Amino acid sequence: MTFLQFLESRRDLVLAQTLEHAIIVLMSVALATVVGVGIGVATYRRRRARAIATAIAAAILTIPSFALLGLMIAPLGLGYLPALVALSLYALLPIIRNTVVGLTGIDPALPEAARGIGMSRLRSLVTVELPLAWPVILTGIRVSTQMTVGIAAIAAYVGGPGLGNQIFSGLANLGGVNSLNKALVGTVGVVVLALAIDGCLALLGALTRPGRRARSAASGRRGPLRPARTPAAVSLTATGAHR
Amino acid sequence: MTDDVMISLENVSKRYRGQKAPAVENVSMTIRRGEIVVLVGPSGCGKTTTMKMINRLIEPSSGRICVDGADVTSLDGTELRRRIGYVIQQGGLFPHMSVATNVGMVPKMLGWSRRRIDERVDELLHLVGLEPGQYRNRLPRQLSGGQQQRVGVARALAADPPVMLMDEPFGATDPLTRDRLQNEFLRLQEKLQKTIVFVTHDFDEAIKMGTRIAVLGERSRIRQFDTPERLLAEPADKTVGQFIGAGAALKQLNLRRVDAVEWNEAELMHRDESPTAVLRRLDESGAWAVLTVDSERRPLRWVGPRDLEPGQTSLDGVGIPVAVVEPRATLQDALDAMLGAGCGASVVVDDDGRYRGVLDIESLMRAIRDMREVERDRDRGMAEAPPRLPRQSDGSRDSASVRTLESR
Amino acid sequence: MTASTLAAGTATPSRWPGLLRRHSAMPLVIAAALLGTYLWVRSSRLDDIEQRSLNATTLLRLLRQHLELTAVTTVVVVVLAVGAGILLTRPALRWLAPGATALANIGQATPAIGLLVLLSIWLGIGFTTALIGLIAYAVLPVLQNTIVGINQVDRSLVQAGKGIGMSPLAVLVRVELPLALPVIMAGIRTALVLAVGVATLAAFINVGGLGELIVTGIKLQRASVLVTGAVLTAALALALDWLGGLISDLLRPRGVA
Repeated sequence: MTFLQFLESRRDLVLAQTLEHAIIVLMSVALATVVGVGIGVATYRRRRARAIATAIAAAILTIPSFALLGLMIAPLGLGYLPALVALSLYALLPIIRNTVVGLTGIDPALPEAARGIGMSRLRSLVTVELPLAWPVILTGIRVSTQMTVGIAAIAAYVGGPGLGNQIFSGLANLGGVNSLNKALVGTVGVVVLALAIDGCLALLGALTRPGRRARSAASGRRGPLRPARTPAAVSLTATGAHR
Repeated sequence: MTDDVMISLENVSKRYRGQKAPAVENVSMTIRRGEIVVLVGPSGCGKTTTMKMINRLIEPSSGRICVDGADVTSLDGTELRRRIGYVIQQGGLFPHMSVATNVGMVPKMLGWSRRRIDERVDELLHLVGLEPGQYRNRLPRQLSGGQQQRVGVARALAADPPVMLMDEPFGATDPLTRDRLQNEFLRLQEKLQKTIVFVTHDFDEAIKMGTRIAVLGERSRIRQFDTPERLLAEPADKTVGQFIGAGAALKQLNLRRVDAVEWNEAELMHRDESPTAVLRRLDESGAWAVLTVDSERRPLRWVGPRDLEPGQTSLDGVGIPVAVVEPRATLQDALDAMLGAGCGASVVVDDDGRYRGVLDIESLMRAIRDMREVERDRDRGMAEAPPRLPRQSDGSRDSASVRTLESR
Repeated sequence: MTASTLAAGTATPSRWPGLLRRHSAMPLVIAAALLGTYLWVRSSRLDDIEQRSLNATTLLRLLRQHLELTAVTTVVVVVLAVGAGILLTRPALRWLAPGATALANIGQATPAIGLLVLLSIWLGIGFTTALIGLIAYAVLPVLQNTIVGINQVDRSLVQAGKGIGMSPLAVLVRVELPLALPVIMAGIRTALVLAVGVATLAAFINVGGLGELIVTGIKLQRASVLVTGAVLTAALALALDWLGGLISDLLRPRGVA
């Protein structure tokens, strides 16, 4: 059976698994965004607190995914829940770090001006600082998403949903008729899904960039900040976190 | 071509792949031994490119460049650059190496012994006014901008190259520091007599530093190549005139140095003398004030009759503080000092701050009058005088460059 | 010049106090986790299956396999990727760098387990296959950080180096590499952590390593084996990353923030 024939015959299953995969990734990242931005906001003004928060998140990211999944199974059992928790924990660091970087990178005159015209701390945070930090935070979210899509494949082994099931099913009958096709559909599917979600987030970034309307349409084409698979993301576990 | 030509460019062009217009087109010039030639022009005119072709950081597309009689393209680029000093903005110091390692880099590459390098480094640090014991082991980021720049100059001088290229070397420093660095460098150059190519976009700096100035237009075309005096007195065309900008006469204050005009003498009195003695001296001499000095003859304050109250016993804190200038400073510096101190005279001091004489506002006015006359003669002699003020409606590049000059 | 006299400047203060302060927490955390796990396993009664996994001989064998995979991967990756990164930043080959970076980006979206399974189908299961998978996976961050690290070196410093007559090799060795070192080291640390992580998955293709404990623990539903495997793997990853951080701080050139 060729790859395309295989794909045709399993279309519904593969589509369903792709969707499941996307859903668990998006759920984990959404969870991580809420928690991560919250932690970032809570700590960005305090040097010590934000150092501790990023250090812990970095340590979690350093733990091999399979080990972290294993640690989740012990208390939570097999299935969806441990996968969701582990993926969310993984997604935390880039989001916390970029929230802190984004918020501390704002020209200090701006929040001051907001306070000056009578905004409360909270209001200044919500209407001035977070929108300005948003492109950087979104970059963190994109990094997290890319990682999570790949790690979710492993979660299939502990009963998680998604395309990882194809890969493990291929692994289970190595040398079997469809093992190559299964492994291939799982692997390629994950790559395609990662790129597709990243594209959507890039689009979201272009649409939600602060001051977008004030600029010409031409600048929209250039897109937001580069997806930080450049050094920020590459050095994810290594650089800033361990200071 | 005479013997004292150090650098020559013959029909040099630089074309970058994929660009229609050449960055530098057909430039020819000769630079004599021991002179400072300043390449000045608006940003993007190709002056840096032209300079970098001399040490082949950029390869010329066509034409011939000779340094000390040898065609540079016949030499190995790396070897060539070891024999040409190179200074860039902020010194271009390597941040991970100590001051000594930075300065000793070229000698080390030339295979000098450890001891000879150490000695040379100390000698050079002395030369640029940095105490070796204090600065040798510092890292660049532990130095101020001006100090970094001095180390940059020291590094370029390390192997005693006959030729130096300087690319906006003082561009990143504040005006005060820049002024001091310029003066220091000129003093150094008097001793060293290097052949120097100096790139800047600052016309005032060009006038101050240059033995000759090449005003460059687009594609490095030479609009005028002349001494600062002649450039100010006779701009070759309208564009050069605009580039010089307004106030050519005032700018000429930059050309004349304090030691080139007449000084007067002041009535000196030691700080410990009594106010009565001061009054007596003022009476006898008819001077408007006496200059108090310390025991090293370093000037302190001007004390006039009205500064002294009856019954006063000491001269401490009496009178107005003096403005001092060095003989190598320009008349512009002297004028600035006078305006700053709110006093119509500057005291000329030597390197150790000791009294040498007094330059007053009258001498300055006389110098300005002389220059004015030269200018008026020139205006009368020319059929069409260049416009004194830049016309804003003209090409945006030119007016922009004029603006940057004036806003300095 | 007296005004700018900075803190007496001549001797740079020892970097040890700062290093110790920054790097002291992690060893304690790791030791505590290991001790806690050890006491917990000790206190529970182990059945036959558990005893087969949880004995010193087995644990040491798995640890050795894991370390072997990680070490060989890291060495090969450093040589390959730093070398390739240097080549891709030379003027003659610079045009290839964007392609390499794009490839690296796609590579990073590839799931490690998928890569291992595909390689096993192609090359058969075994140590070499696992090694190739690990290398392919860990080479990317080092390559990318080498390129980025060298490219972020201030161009004017490279020009200054050339300008004062340094040969291209001297500019590379004395200016570019030292200044790129922190970024390159960060990439190597990432690669190290990735290698430890992916080596866990080697258990799926029968190459052993600490992942075997986790697989066994899940398959046979033995929490003690599972947790021991997970804690050991996590401790190993954290310890190696800690070591990497320490080394990279020690190698960081003076004068570079």
